[in-house]
This record gives sequence, C-alpha cells and structure tokens, in this order.
Amino acid sequence: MDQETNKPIQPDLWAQEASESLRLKPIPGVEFTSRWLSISWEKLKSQHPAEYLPVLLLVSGIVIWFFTLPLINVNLMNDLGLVSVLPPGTFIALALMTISFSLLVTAPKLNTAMIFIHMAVLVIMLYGITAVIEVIPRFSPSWRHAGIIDYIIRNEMVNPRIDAYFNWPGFFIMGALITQIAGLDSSVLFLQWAPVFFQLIYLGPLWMIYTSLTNSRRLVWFGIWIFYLTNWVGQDYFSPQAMNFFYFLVIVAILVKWFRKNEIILPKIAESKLVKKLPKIQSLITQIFHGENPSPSLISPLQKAFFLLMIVLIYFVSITSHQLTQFAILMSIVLLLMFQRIAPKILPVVMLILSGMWIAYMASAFMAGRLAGMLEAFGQLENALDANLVDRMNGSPGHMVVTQIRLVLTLGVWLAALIGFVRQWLRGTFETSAALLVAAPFPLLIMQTYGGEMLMRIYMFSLPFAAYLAAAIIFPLIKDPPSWRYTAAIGLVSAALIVVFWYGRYGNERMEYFTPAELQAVEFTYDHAEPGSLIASVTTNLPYKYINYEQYKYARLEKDVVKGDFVALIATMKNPKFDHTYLLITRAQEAYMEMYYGVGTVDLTRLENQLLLDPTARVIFINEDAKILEFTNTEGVK
Amino acid sequence: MNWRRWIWPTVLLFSTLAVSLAAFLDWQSPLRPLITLWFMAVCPGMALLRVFGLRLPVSGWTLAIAFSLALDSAVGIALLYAGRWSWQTGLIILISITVLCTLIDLLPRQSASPQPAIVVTKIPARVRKPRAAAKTEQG
Repeated sequence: MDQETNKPIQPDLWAQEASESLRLKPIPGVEFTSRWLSISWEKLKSQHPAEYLPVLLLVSGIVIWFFTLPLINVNLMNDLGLVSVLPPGTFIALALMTISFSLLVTAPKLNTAMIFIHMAVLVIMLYGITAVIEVIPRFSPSWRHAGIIDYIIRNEMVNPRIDAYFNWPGFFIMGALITQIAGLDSSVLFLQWAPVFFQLIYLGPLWMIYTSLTNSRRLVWFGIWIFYLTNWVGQDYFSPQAMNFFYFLVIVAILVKWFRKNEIILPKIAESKLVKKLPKIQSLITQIFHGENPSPSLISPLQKAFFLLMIVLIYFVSITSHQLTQFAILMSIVLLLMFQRIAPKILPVVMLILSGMWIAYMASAFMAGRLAGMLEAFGQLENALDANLVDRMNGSPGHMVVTQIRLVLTLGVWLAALIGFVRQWLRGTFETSAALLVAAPFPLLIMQTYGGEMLMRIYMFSLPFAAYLAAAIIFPLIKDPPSWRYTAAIGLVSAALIVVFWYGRYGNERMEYFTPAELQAVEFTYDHAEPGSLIASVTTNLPYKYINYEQYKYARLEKDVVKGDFVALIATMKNPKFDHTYLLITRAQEAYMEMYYGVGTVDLTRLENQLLLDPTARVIFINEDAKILEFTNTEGVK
Repeated sequence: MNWRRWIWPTVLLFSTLAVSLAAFLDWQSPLRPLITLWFMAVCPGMALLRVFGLRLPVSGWTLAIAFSLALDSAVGIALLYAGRWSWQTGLIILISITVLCTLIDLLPRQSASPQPAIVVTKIPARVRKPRAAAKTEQG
C-alpha cells in the first residue's frame, strides 16, 4: 500500500518503484564517463570500420609481435630457414597487420598517415626481425664490408690490388667518413639495422615513382605493400648494392616525376603506308608512345638544371661504388628515352663517358686480365641460365624447397606484372614507363653470370615496377570506394605473400646467422694469428675479415673438401709461404655444407680428424660452435 | 614573417652545431653516432634543396637523403683520391655546404618555383566604399 495516498500500488509500477529506490545518486565523474562512452559508441557505430579498426589491429599486432620474439630460438632452425622456428604469434601479428592494411587501402577515404605507419611497422617486422632475435649481425659479406672500411680508416687510401672491392670503393669511403665522424672504432655497429634503414629509405622514391605513374593512391600504396612482401633477394644488408639500389630508384623517380617529355612525336613507322592500312597497329603504337597519363609536376628551369646536376652526381657516386647498378640505371634511362617517356637526351651520353672513364682508369686493376674472359662470356645466354638456375637447384630437401619457392615467387611476380599490365590496358591505360622499367634490367643476363646471381639482381631491379603493375590487377577501380570483396582479396593475397616471404627471404638463415661462440672463435684467431698468416675455412660463412683486412691471406677449401682431395688440402694448409695457417670450422659452415651438398655428404669431423694426423697440426681453440686448427709450417719458420 | 620558414633553417643550423661539437670535442656518447647519421644523411641535401626553392613535403625527404649521401660520398672520394684524407676536412666541407646553403635560404628573395601570375587590373567600383562611410563604420 502506498502510505501517503492509501491507494494500492499497481503491479506494473512495483518494478519501477523498486528500481527507483535502487538507483544510485549520480556521481559527476561516472556520469561523464558513461555519457562519453555512449557518445563514443554512437560515434563509432556511425563510422566505417576502416576508421577505427586499423588502430586496434595495429597496436594488437605490435604487442603480439613483441611478446612472441623471445620465443624464437634460432639454434633450432632447420633447412627451411627462419620460418621453421617462428611461433604462431608472429603469423597472428602479421595477419592482424594484413587485415588492418586491407581495410585501410579499401576505405572510402584513404588515411595516408595510418598507411605510412603500417608500411614502417611492416618493414620493421619483416626486415628487422633478425636484428632483434639474433645477437650477432648476420651475413658474412657485411662483415667483410666493415673490414674494407676499417682498411680505409687505417691506411687513408684504397688498394685495388688487394680485392675487387677497392676498384669500386665509393660506398666504403663514405662509410669510413661517417664511422670516423661518429667517433666509432669500427663500422660493425651499422650492420645490424642496415636492412631496416635501407628498406625504409626505399619507401620515398617508390612513392615518388608510383605517384608519377598513376593518380590512384590505392594503387600507389598497394604497389609499395607488394614490393615489401616480395623483396626476398636480401641485397639490403650493409653493402654498396643496397645503397646503389636507392640511388637507382631516386634517379628513376626524379626523371619520371620532373623530366617527362611534353610533346610526343610518333615514330615514322606509325605514319608509314603499311601501318596506316592497319588501324589497330597504328592505335597500338599511339598508345605505347602516349602511355600512362600522369599529372605533371612543374619546376623552374633552374630547378631542372639543379636536378640534372644531382642526377649526374648520384650516378657518378654509383659508378664509384658498384659495378652493376650503373648499367641498370643506364639501360632504364635509354629505354625511357627511346619511348619518349623522359626528355633529357644528353644524360646517357654523360653517363657512358663517366662509366667508361672509371672502368678505364680507376678499375683498371680489376679489368686487367679479366676483360678477355668477360667479353667471351658476353652473350652466352645458355651459360648464364645454367649458372643462375640449373646450378642452384641442388642441396638438401629443405634447401630445394626454398630455392623452388624463390623461383616460383620471382616468376609469379613477373607474371602478375604482365597480368596487371594487360588489366590496365583493358582499362584504357597503357603503362609504358612501368613496362619498360620492368624490362630494362633483363639484358644484364647476357652480360655475365655474376657468380650465378644475375637473375636475382635482375629481379631486384625490376621488382619496384613489377610490384606496381602486379598491384594494378586490383587497382585502380572503376567503382570507388571498393567493396568488401576487394578488402578480402587484398588480405588473402597479402597473407599468401607473407608466408612465401619468410621462405624466400630467410630460407638460408641457418647458414647466414652467427652465434656469439662463432664470433668468439674469429676474435680468438685475430688475437693470436700473426700478420701474414693464412686463415682458411671450408666456406666463407664466417663473421670475419672485419679487421686488418690486408694483413692476412684467406683460403676457401670448399671444392677440395667436397672432392675429398686431402693432398690438396694439406698442400694449402702447409703452404710454405705462411708460417702459420689457421683452419676455422664453425656451425654456419657445417650448415652450409649440409644445405648445399646434403646431410652426410661431407663429414667435417672426419676431415678434421684426418688433418689432425699431421704432426704440425693442433687444436688451439674449441667451443660449442667452433673449432680452430693451427698448422705450423716448419719449412716456413725462420 | 612566416614562422614555418624558420623551422628547417633552425633544424639545420642546430644539427650542424651538434655534429661539430660532438665530433671536434670528441664527445664519447651513444648519441654521437645518431647525431652524425642524422647530419650526414639529411642535412647537406636538405639545405641544397631549400636553396633551389624546392620545398617538397614527401619527395623532399627522399631527395635530401639521396643528395646528402651522394655529397658525403663525393667529398670522401675527392679527399681520398687527392691524397688528403681527413675526416675533419670532410666534415668541415659538409658543414660549410649546409651552413652556406641555409644562410642563402634565409636571404629574402623571389620564389624560384613557377607561380601562376595573378594580375589585378582594376578593383570593381561597387566594392569601394566612400571614405565617410568607412569612417562611420570604424567609429
């Protein structure tokens, strides 16, 4: 009963009364929070998922990534490489990143800042992982490069007779200058994070090139995304080629952005009687020469002159630091000029003169005695294909899988580029510049085998443009904004590429990473070996040559070890030229032999035991990953 | 004066000062390699770009890095092949380029980039207000 009115309470009001009595007094802070939450929820509901989900996904991905890193044990790696020890969390983190990027790139309104952050995080996740999980900088050549810088710092000169590197020392000279100004004793500090640095600086010229080829920002960002997911070649370590690839991209970027030819003059063949009778052919020629329709970037004549001067300077620096990149640049420019994509005709002439002068004068020590062989090898496509393809198809089953995945990925990217090119053509845009730039490095294959690496280098130089064309399979869209199907397609393609990336990029990681114990053995050798000693190893998979480069001689015993030629091995180890010879046998070398020749083909322990039968041989150092044998040459001892 | 115009010159001059102090006073700190990398990879190129009136938001960073690294290499190569290798000389040359270009950039001048010419020929009569009316509004 209601005491005030003495009226019976209606049953439907009981609940209301009860709830009124239970209601708490409003607390200002809580009320504000609940109101803010309800407003935020309403706001969130009205927003497109692409506006708020990527932030959550990105943060979650980064957090998961960092929590999974300590779970990776590189010592357990098998012949498939890093992928064999990656915990599921790594893939979950990358999957979240992929979903996030797919949402962003297909959002009604593109959030450039967020996409840029995604790119940077992706680069760190894909290319910086080894810097975080491996204690010692990976990959033997990067240590060697630190050694050449060390030589320049100590001797204040280059000596082309020591090594081919000294014929193209530009990168090392720059490294020496930076190392000394930074107050460092050695440039080894730069090795660990060099891949992340190089991959990040590639982003700028890629953006410049792509935005000069298309007005579709979705195509631009997706193209860059594909570039990072398919760049398996691993030439971004502390090396001249990593720097020169950046120079290559910058020169192309400046040319396609600011040196477009305004007036296209069709070749005479387009006006010939025969072609006039074939309107389709005539239309095709017109399309090829008119090409894509980029938005022009205007600069003053003075700025153009400045850019031309800087292109020549960058090219000169490239000539001085890498023997191959200059030709990739030259061929790209020549093709772009032939099809009237760019204007400055004088450039290739200047470049050829500069290249010729450097080769004739500054690299003469390298060319002497090699020129005849190089000219002989020129044009021998069969040999080049053998060295680049057939000879590489061997090794353990795991290594074979990696090699095949690399080949499939390489061919797949080129095929996707072709499909993207056709797709763009059907849309009405003839991507002449991109197609020419994909094709430009292919003539390098007939120049020389480049130690069986030429196909890989060709892929590297064509990848920026192939990735752009591959992205054109999806973008630009006729109907914008894209439907969820495009989001799903991009997500699936990216997920597949990420999985393949780990095999391609880090497939050789077992033999390319180094443990502290291996470095300890190398340091021991340099502490104990007298200058002038011979340092031998079965393969070059060692963190060595980073100090006193010229003071030691080095020998690689791989061929003799594989042949089982102990006479040759003993002859090398007891070479009378050297008082002492040191043989380093390490974990990474054993991994190399197992991966390239199969497990059990070469038994390094047996080799070691047989060598120790020699009375002058003794073990001077041993730890869990390395062993050092010393040979004292009695004939050589004074 | 537009304060934004002063951002880069200030950054460049401070970076130059920082790298000079760190290098010539032999400051042993983990920050020194970072300061050096920043200066060597960005500053000379950025200063050069600004002299030529190229204030490009995204491309500017790319070109600044490329030009800086190319300049570093060119200076090093010139010194080494001339038999005059000295990191101090190399640094002084790069600092000179940066400071000189920054000072030129600070000088008042006409923009080098092509600007669309806007020519005001005549102010329409109806926009003009009589002096008396304008005074009344102010009052």
